[in-house]
Amino acid sequence: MISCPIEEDIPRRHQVADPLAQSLAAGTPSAFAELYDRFAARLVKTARRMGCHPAATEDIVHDLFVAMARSRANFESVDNLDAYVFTALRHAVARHQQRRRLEHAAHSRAAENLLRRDDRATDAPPSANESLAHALASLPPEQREAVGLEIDGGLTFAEIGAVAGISPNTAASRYRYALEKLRILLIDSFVNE
Amino acid sequence: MKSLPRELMAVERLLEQQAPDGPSVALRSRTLDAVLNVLPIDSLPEQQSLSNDSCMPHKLDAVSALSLLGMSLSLAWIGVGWLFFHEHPSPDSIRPPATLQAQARAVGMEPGYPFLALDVAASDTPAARSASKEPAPHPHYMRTLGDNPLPVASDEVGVFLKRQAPLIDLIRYGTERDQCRFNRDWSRPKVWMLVQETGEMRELARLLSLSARRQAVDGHPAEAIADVARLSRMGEHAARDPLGISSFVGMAIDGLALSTLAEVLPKVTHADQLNAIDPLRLSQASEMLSAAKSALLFDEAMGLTNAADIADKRIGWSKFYDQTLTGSSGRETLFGLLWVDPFYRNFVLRGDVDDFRRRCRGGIHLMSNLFHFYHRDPDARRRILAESSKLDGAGLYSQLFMPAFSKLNGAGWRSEARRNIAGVLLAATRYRLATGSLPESLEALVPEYLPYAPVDVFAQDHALLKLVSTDSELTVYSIGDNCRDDGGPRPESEPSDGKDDIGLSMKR
Repeated sequence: MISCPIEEDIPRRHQVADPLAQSLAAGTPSAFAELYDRFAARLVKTARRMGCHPAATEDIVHDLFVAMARSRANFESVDNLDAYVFTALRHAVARHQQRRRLEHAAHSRAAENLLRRDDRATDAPPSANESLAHALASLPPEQREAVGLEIDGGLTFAEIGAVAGISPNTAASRYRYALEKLRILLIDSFVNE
Repeated sequence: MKSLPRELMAVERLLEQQAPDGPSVALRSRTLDAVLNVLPIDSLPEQQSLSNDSCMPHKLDAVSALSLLGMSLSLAWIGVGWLFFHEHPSPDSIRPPATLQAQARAVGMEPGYPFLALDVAASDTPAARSASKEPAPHPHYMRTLGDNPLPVASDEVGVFLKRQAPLIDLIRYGTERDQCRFNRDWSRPKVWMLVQETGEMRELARLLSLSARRQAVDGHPAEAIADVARLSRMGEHAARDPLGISSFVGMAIDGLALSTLAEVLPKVTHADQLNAIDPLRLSQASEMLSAAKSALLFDEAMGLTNAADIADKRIGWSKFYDQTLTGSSGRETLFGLLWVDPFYRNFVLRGDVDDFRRRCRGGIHLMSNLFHFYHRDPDARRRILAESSKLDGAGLYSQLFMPAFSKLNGAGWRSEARRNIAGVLLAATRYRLATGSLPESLEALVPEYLPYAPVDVFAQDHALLKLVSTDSELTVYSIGDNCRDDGGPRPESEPSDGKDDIGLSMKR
């Protein structure tokens, strides 16, 4: 089990209301620009790590900012901006993936079959990046989410717990299980090469 | 803190190294534009509050009452003309348009100039001076980028460009970006705020132009043409900043790109080497024109912001010049403290602002709507521009802050003429590559190399641009704003003597 002292994990800046949140609630445009600068790169990377198609990720983040601007009054009660924004991202990604699953389940199966055939046809071994992508794709969604939020979102386990609605220790466990599984899968892929 | 076994830490490091790509540059402006559309208009930034209780006093305060004592002096000093304004605007009517600070934060060329400045400083050593035997403050720099430079093919230029290679690469990188805006506080706009940056961009443009010409001489025309295209984009970047001066500088850099193109084109040996230049884009001056329109709107907003500051007593007329035009903090004078500021605020400002707004509206209308309307009637255009540039009876504020509508309009027409001329040279080069010789007339290029023979935007009756072919070079020119054929563009070394033909020459 990973030791996870919650008090240390929560940055002090989050123990008081973020002044940016108040400006956001007031609808100040420069505050939204600051919000974008602070979060956009992390959000896009996290969404991509959580399995969203790169082309769709920017649309998700774009829509997320617009949705937050529409419901800007919610920022008044936000103490931890990171947790709030990444929770919103998590919901947006879940909605997107649900929609994609419903719309393209059949197409995906067909495409997957084609890809498998293509994989067999090519002699070139997958690159490290491809191996990692395959390994990540095979993780359970909640573990992949923990990896994305920790590595790309830069969230603490306490914040991941708040985002995913789980305890910090569970978040830490999911992260560790994910790393262990990735390690095994990556070793397998190198051995198979 | 988390303690992970070493093998898991290795996986973690791998995940960090193989991070997914971040967002594209364009996503920022796309997202923030969408967000701004959602936000209520009242929350837009930098709106100067001109509410009744904060400015435009309706009752005389004590200091204002004292100012009445100085009225007779003020009438002599300011002049009675400004008291004739009768339709005063309401406070709300002088609310300046909002400027979106979020859109003005991109940084492009800013990191680049110090490299060049360092080179200038490095070459300005006593040793360099003694070696060069020139007393000029920046000998090396002046001899490569100055007014009377060394030949492009000289060794010294080669050494200079080699040393500046990292900067030239940085400039190229900068021109590939969507936009290039300098990080300035647009909520407190000042006339001087972009003078330094635009000046530096011109220096960087000269450097890139020199590099393009050198590459052409060295037998790399494709790379030279690519640099010309970048130079053109650099002009667009410069023009996009929302000030009139930016438009002027943008057009100047664009002009430099086109003259560089004329110098490089004779070195082109194959049509593929021209791929970097889009003829359609070259023939459209619309980018510069739309930038100029935005600049005029911002100039108006800047004038109104300053008026709001005066009304709000944030700045006084006595410090106005220093604070607004020179950027220094300004010193309050006894003269201003006593009566000038309150008098101006109470009795003159409203009329001045009204006059300023009316003239700005007219100028922007001229630039936005009449530009193309008068495309084929240069005489009418000249007349209207001359009329619009008159400031007879204008208020003090208009005299000081009136954007340069007429000059910007004229510069816009010259820019369009230059682009048309460059388009002809490009087509002539394609003609040369196909037939082995340069064309003898514009008609020879139509329709295979040009969709139509371009008209001279300064000439009456749809007259075409002039094409003059000699043994040594081919020159294409417009008769310019004086509407008189002066025999083609004069060399820069010659005095103008009222000649203003605009043209480009290409060696055979």
